[in-house]
Amino acid sequence: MKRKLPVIAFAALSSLALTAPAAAQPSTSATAQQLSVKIVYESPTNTKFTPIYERLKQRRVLEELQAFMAPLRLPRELTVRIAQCGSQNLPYKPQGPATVCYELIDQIERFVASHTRDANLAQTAITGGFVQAVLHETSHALFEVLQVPIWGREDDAADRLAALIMMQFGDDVANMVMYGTQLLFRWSDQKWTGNAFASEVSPDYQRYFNYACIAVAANWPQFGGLVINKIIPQHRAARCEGEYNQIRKAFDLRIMPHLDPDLLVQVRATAWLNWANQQANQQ
Amino acid sequence: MKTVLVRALLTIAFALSLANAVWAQTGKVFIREGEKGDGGYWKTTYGVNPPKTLSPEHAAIRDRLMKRRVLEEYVDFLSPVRWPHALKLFASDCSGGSGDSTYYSPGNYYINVCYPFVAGYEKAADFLVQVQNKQKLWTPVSRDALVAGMFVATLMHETGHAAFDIMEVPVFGREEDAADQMSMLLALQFGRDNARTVVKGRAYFWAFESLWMRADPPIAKPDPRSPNYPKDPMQQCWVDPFCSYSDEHGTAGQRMYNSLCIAYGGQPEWFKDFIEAHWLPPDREKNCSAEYQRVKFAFQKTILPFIDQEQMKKNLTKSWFQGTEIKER
Repeated sequence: MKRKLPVIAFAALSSLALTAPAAAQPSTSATAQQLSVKIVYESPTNTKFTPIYERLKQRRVLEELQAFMAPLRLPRELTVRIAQCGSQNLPYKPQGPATVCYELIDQIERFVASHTRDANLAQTAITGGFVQAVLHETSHALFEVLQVPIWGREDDAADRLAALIMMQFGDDVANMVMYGTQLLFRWSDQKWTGNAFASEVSPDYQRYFNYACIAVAANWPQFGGLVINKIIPQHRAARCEGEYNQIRKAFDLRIMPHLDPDLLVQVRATAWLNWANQQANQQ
Repeated sequence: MKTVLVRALLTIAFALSLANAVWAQTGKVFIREGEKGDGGYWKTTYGVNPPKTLSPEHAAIRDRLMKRRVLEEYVDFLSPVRWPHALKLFASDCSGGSGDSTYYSPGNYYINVCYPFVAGYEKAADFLVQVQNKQKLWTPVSRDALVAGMFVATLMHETGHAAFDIMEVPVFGREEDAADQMSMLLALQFGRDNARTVVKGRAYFWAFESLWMRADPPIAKPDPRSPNYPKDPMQQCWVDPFCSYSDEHGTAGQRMYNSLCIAYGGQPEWFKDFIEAHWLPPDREKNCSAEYQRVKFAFQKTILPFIDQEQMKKNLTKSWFQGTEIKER
């Protein structure tokens, strides 16, 4: 399985945006004039994706992402869109939009359905996968817009930044999104041999450990069980704190200067993805 | 009162002399001796109490490294770098185990070249030359060039770790991949012959590991009831299709393709024979130039300010390898 985006999770998030009290949301109206992130829901030509399009738009999932990114001060506008791509992924190109594909969302929903009948678990996996994909694609765009020097493979860098950002949500959301992300990569049916290893994208299991390692270091009470139960073997677990500190330091040095500190406080004080939590609680 | 004053002055003088000694080391790279007169080529293990002496095989490797003056040459190679903390180099038998790899110690600012790792390179090179004698490899190889290239590529990889640590470089991707990128980027800056020796050594070593040693993660788990099933938990992890991906390093295959991609992306003319031999799949090849540019940009933004340009100009024109070390067949 390549990168998978949970449609349902995104939808759940967007539904939260519609129902949450205005005071609990980031001050979207106040910051609307300053936003340097533009959002677009492209209408799919394949009617198969129309329900996804309608659901995401109705739940205003991109609006929530836009509000989440309000503290960013970018030198130029960055566009995040959901579009029909002709494939599951559309790699980011310089000056281009960050794109999450309907095909990927559709694939995630079907993939999750094939792995669990537990509605709660499915909701978590879909939400996690969707948010992971949005943050991953947005990270690629941020690297380019902010001219961030990237050491290491860029796709892994986007994963590590996405993981770091995930862990900045409040505990409930961060845990659901991170756990959902891990589920998708853990369930992967990829079998890599030969020149498959030439891919610029890392194998799903490798990505699983990259996310899990950051999660363990960022929130031991929630994710320490991965180490205690030896899902993450000792030789890697010993390095997780260093990995987390490394990406955190890189963020502080190269991205933090582009954030408005006051808006950042507002964003951190905001309850995100309430729709997903509400749906999970109802199930 | 007079005595107190003298003591105070002596204390200050001692502190200043100590500070001077430390200051004199800052910004440099130097060789760290294990015992007086060993020249930094230790005659023992490192970190093992009590230290163990070398096997005849490893003593011979020590002699070869000393004769070739590899540490002295590498100190010279790194002389343009203004390290915020002094970097120390030495060679030893490390823990004395056969699996010891050359490594950089974060926070302690040293690179320890392990004799067992050099032994591994020599065996890999011998094997590859034997294969070449029976069948065609992608491109021709020679033993001396392979050993020299593998050795220097590893030193450059560890230098990458040292730079990331000592210069506090922001690393967004996986550090092990970043260190591989550093080794390939450095290799390309010193002319075609030097570059081909290092890149070929790196690429062939990982090809050896991937294709012949089957070091890539398996796709099926062996039967735990099998008598060959490993007892050691770490070995069990390496034969597990999931756990084997937990390593912080890329797989052997990934490291082979990553290295070649940076090399070809930076100098397509120098490495077009690898492309003609279909070593890199077209889907990866088409983005190698962009990958190289990304690494070059990262180097310019994060490492270049630490490099003395005048000293660098002198080093760029030097031929770092000798005779058969740049002989390709």
